[in-house]
Amino acid sequence: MVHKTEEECDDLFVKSGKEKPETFERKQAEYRDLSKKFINTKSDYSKQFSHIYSARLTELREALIPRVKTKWENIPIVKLADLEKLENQQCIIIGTLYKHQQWKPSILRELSEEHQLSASCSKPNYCSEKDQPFLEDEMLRIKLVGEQVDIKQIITGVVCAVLGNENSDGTFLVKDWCFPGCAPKESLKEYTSQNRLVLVSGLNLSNKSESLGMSLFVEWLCGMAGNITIQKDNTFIVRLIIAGNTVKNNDTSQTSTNTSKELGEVIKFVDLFLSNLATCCSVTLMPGKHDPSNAMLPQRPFHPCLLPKSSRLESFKSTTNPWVGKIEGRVIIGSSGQSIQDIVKVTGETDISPLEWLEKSLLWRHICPTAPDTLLVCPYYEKDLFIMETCPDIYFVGNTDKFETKLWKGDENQIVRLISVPRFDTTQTAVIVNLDNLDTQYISFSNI
Amino acid sequence: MIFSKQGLEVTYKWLSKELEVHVNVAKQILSEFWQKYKEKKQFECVFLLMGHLHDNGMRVEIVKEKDLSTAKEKYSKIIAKHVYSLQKTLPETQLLGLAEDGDVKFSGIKCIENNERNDEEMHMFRWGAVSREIESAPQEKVQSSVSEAASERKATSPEEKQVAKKKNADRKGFDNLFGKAGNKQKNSSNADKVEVDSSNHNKKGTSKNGSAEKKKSTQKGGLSNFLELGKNQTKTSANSLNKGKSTNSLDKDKCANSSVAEKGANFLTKEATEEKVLKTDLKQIQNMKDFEEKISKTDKQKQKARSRKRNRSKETNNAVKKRKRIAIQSDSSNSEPSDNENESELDLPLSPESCPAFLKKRSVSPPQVKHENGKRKVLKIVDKTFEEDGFLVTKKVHVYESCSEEEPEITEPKNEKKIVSESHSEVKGKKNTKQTTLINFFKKS
Repeated sequence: MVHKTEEECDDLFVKSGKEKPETFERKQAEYRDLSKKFINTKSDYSKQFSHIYSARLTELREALIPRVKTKWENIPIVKLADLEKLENQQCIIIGTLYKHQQWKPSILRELSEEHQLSASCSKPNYCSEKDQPFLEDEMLRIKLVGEQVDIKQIITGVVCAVLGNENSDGTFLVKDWCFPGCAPKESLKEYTSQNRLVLVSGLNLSNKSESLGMSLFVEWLCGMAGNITIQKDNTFIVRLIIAGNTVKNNDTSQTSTNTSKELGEVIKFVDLFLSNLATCCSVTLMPGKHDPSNAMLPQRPFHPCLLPKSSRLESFKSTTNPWVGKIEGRVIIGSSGQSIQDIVKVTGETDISPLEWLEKSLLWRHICPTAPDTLLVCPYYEKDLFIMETCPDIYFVGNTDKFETKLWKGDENQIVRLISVPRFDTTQTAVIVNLDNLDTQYISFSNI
Repeated sequence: MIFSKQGLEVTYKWLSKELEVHVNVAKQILSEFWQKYKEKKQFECVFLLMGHLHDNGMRVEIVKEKDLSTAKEKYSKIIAKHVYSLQKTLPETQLLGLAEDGDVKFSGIKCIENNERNDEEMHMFRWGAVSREIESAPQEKVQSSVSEAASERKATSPEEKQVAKKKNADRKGFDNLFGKAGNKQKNSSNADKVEVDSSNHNKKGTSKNGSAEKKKSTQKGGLSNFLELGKNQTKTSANSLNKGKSTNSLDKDKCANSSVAEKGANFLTKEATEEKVLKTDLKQIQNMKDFEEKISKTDKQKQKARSRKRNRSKETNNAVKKRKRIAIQSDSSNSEPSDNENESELDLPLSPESCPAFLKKRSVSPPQVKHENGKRKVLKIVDKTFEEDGFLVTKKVHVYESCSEEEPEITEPKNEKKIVSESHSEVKGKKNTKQTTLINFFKKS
């Protein structure tokens, strides 16, 4: 048995010894970064964040109304202010969900804890028994009740339409929901490219002990490991996308690497690492929650001066988080994970995987609905940039605990590949996506 | 051979890097070596396995020879297996993670998109096209003040002319610098400096505009030459041209300001001897910020060449005064300008960036002022009349006046300078040096 497998493997073994060693050229792919809007849109820190909500509601209401009209025919859509006139008739209201949560981040509570006026407590999520669901439009808010209301499923900031009627006590009895649904696809063209993408996240290079998995990953991607067949095959990998937390992966390591000198060392190492990769493969680098970028979404690209060696290479693109791009005509939207992590905190539900939330956010047509309530974002006031205007082909979230994927099919023939990209430093896993048929598989680099 | 070294892992990537051969060749070498000597069992062999798992995943791992059979059970199909490394002993395969990285040059895949950006592209990439926009705005603001200053300025000397030349050089470099400076804060600081300049000019105010203008024409030519030279980084030709022009201007100036010129001359001669020292000092002292600030000033000045020249001349004057203080004892008139230029040129090679303009700026710059070893300046409150937006404004201004170098009290003036600099420092901490130098310069003149 053992002998037999030996022979099999020898067949696959490198036979290039006496021939001239072959090198293959990596395929090229059309690449466009569509996230310029995140940088160019002006934000004003003197403005209130409410502008984001009103912009979001205005835009998504337009998308909701036709859906509502086809779903519930001949039922009036009213504003909250006009509810009284209907006298408990059945109606539709459109607004933004709001979950009143005692334990969500609050600057006032932080202050009182600082002055020891109240006991500080750290909770894994924002939930408590007293959470209350509301729906609000530009002027008013109304409490939602009924069997259809599952407090766990209510996410602050999601725009939706609700069918039901007002109760005599001023609450709204919910009979059905309607969400904006996935955005329409730009075009339904055929894809024929053989090219592939590789996604990783959470490389956590501040973890000095350079792991074997990491070096195997680099060797595999750069065409050093494996035989000729594999090297040739890997030339179809046109781009590596690094989804956040390249430098650091958590706050606990922050304390140890907090001195600017150490951080500088780490960033030098990151620069070297990335420049090595970029000489052999196109790289897109997104910042993550713990990376040296701004904390507010959208996080800005790493500044070229921070990564001098890598920035020299045209194959290296530093971009925003979240990121919107187009590769070979495929629209790709992804984040480094903050949006989904925050949703999980808002719901307090641990059984629902990040992938499911990713799918739901596709239906909400919004990348990070919990911003600006519990997730920091720049105070844009003219437009909500995180509304998905077009349907992506690939929609991923980084820094999750495990690899998951799903091919989602919408009712308007949208096909979306949903991917949760696991942290590399714990799982040693990267994700390969085929741009042709959106086939996705993981590749792990451990020897455990 | 290599394996005899204790604790050394010979990985294929290390071998390919060391022998500068393709990775596949390195694998082959290792494999043949192992086949040949494995009977002797002197070393351990580690394989790399790559294959598809049963759940549609892929896996890449390295395993010791003795674990191969168990490791293979995980795979539904193995697509590659080759020798990863050979070593005497290997307690943990994880330790191979510490092995030296290979060189991507010898990998099986080449990427043709990895072109390097050149310096200019990098500049645009780092600071964006915005940097150019920023340039123009500050220039306009400054112009009014500059022009005023120009009208009022003293035609102090050849030194000024030299400075002007240097400024021209700065202008070219200035674009680059500006881009680097990119920060808007710098612009504000520039504006401040300009004001200072104008005030200084006013004080000097009395002097020889006519001579200055004549000099301007010569300066322009010299400037353009100088700039071009700077671009090419041909130091020698630039020097010669500059020297010739500078000497001419100096002569004219001397007629006007004999005393100043003499001082400058003295200074220059000393500089000749001390050039090397100054250069090193300058390098150390001059910060990029200083350069940027100067650049911004030059930007402002761009629109009106005359005004710019004047400003530059002022800056140079400052530098000269400092030098004078240092060099007081020696007397030589004509050689001075050449020395200054030489310094600027010398600075050029030093700059890491390709643009020579930076270097020139440095040479002109405030750092020289700081360098002042023997300078003595006294801070005084003086009523100065400035033209601001067409109005004459009288203000009390702290000004450093140069004292005879012989004066024993060096420490006091320094302290005073510090105070002044602190007031300025609100805008920029680093500006202090420049501002003080400018002030000093003016008062002396």
